[in-house]
Amino acid sequence: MAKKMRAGFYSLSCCEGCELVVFDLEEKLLKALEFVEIVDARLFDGNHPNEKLDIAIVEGGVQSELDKKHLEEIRERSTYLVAFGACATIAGIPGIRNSLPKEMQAKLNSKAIIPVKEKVFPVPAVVKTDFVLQGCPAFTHELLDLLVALYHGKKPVLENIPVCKECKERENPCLLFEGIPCLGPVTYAGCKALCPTERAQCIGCRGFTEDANFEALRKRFRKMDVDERIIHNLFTYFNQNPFKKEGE
Amino acid sequence: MIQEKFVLKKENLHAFLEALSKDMEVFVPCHNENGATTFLPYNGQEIYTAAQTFYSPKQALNKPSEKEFFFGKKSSSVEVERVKQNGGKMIFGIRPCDTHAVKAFDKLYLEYGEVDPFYREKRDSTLLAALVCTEPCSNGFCHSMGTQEPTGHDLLMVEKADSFYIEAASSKGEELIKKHRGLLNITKFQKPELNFECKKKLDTRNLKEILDKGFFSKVWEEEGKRDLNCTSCTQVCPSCYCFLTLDKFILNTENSERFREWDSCHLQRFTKVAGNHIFRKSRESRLRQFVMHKLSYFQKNNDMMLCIGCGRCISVCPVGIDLTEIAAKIRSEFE
Amino acid sequence: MSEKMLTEPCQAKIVKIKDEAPETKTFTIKYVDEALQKALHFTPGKFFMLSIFGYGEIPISISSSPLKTDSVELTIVDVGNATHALHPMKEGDIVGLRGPFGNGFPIQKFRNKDIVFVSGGCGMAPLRPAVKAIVGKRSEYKKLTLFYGCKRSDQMLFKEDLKEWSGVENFNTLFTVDEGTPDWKGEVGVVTKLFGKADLKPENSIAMIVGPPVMIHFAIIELKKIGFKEGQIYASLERLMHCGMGKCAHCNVAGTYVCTDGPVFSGAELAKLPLEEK
Repeated sequence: MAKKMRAGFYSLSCCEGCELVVFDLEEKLLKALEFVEIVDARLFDGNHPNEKLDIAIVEGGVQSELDKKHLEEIRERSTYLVAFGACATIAGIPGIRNSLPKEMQAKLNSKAIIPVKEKVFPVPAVVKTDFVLQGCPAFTHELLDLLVALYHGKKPVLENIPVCKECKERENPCLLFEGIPCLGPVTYAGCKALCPTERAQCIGCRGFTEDANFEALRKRFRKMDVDERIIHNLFTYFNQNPFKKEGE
Repeated sequence: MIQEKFVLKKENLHAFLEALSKDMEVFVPCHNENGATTFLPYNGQEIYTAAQTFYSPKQALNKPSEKEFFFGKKSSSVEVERVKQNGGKMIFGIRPCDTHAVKAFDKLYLEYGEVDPFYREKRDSTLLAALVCTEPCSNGFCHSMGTQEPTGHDLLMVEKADSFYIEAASSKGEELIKKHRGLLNITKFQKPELNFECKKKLDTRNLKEILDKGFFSKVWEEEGKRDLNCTSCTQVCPSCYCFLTLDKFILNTENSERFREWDSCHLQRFTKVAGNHIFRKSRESRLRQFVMHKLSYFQKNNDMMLCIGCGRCISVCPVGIDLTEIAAKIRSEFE
Repeated sequence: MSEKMLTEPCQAKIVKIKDEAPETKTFTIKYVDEALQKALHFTPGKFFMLSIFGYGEIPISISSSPLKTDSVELTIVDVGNATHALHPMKEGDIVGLRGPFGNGFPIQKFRNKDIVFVSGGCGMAPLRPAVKAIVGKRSEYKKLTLFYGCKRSDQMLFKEDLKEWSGVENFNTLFTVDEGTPDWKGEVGVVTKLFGKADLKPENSIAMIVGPPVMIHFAIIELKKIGFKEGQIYASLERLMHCGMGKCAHCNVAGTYVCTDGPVFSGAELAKLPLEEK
């Protein structure tokens, strides 16, 4: 076996849930620790800040100047940087703030305990990001696959595959035919259609695919008589409003 | 060949399926956990024969992800091992149109060019018990495609109110009947004339020529605009077979496995080459590939249309794209 | 070719590695099973499905002469996961070969004709077997012309061969680069600019083109302007195959399979194919 990879977990503005679910890997995590050394992570044993890393796994979005500095510092000393979870990849739940009316944003921001930026930025918007692992919380099997691949020198590529593909592989009934607005057609697959399989609509926690046809899906929702507010909320729950016009 | 016709009383159906299951994995039409109709291995569940299943029985033959090879790394060599495929299957109650989809697979994997040993291993030990349709289904157009009569099946079944009428259609089917003779009664029952009309129609006269001419038709652009590229049509289609191969390392070893996975022509990655160039970047080009492969391209190497007229792609499409409508529009433009 | 050779990655050993250009190496490979090596024969333009175990299987054109089949050469640019894993490999390492696949250039039909080779970038790799086969039987063919264009001079492949070919009787070799560098004394510009500099006589000629889609597109246009007919032009296309046998449908271009119907197509066939599908 080649040399162990050195990895660290970092949290920006988030609930730290993505780091927590890594423990769901259970015995697989122990196996992974045979080729990955977690050198810097709050929830793990070792805390060695400022060390050089092969892989930095970052959860959370950039809300403050503090987050930004922290992220830039991590980037500086890491070979690969992985945005881990919805907050880091697409700004996620904190990013709802970005879609609110200006007055409400100002009101919210004034109540923050530490000074926050006007908007929440996902990790790739701030520093060069090598890999994104989406989901709320992130999917640990994907992290494991990524670590195995990187260990062998493979770099996975993110493909524009919608949730529907995996949903149909699992032979689920299509929620759109039951009048339930589901973001499956425009959201990145990889979750094995976890929510639709449990008959809950996809709310886009894995981010929108690059070639998504938002207009066609919105038309479909409208045909189902879904309330405009619900449509807006659904599209902006985890993601930035895809219908926003330039300058808005 | 046994000339007698047999009848299986419905109260004996489960006993019959149980008896079959002792020798093979029997895929039956049923509701799955989430309430969709599909084909699953028999485990005593209720059989669904009221209508066509929403999902096709293709997972019985090709699963979304299958292990094809194991590569064992040795110090100075690599052991290449073909992964053994589960044999001994029956698709019970497969509809006539779906038997034509199996025929398309047979033509592609076993007759055209090199034989594919991966498929051969699975197919050789798979039996088809076809259940003929007595009523039109919601979006099917099998009469237009000439797929209303089953093909390549081992047993032929017709459902009546309280029984299934069964006859052998191959020597393997004959053996099955002999073996399970105890559950069957001889009958003089004659196969009924099946004269129903499909609700949908697809005019197939010179269709290939017309579609080929309509490659640059505006219809593709119009339909492409509302296409979600969600891949649902390719996933439910009984004859969509496009696959990719993928290698994965096994955790904590230098050994790896090669998988065959369903791909979909609706995805950009389908035509991606080195340097990230994508040949079919636009939505309409990918929709066109799907429709053309079904109605035109497949014929070139395999002498039949890949579309077998089950209409599932129409039933599943969230935005109502209808392949028969596209074909009709292009016909009106280019005939 | 046996079923095993075409349907199963067969172990093959890297026996020699040569640096060809930046990020480009030529690997000389031999089947571990000698019987398979003996059974191997191929026409120029055919390709192998090369397995880098654990990393994937990729289509790679054969770049060595069909007249010499005791080993094969594959010239490979480091662009993706599989090629990236292959590049650091050493002599003695094991890869997998499946094939060869494809139709290849029908060079037997080209006897007693003037031959024009047009190549761009790493397109020289699939074309090299054809040039070698024809140069190897020089007397069977008439005048030879090679047009070869690259991004920069250091990216030119098979420099020794190019030098050797320029010394072959009645073989005119012309080169160009997209970006001139201080060491480059030759032409700068696209490969089609060279066509006017050679005395081409289309009547009894055959043109073979291998390169990126854009280059193929313009090369055909320019050759036709000079007087080449569609039937005199042959080009090799690139698609990412997963099976090589017309099953997986990835290389389907408007109903034509690049793996089994091609990768070599005549100008008449190409005219019917959309190289890019809008």
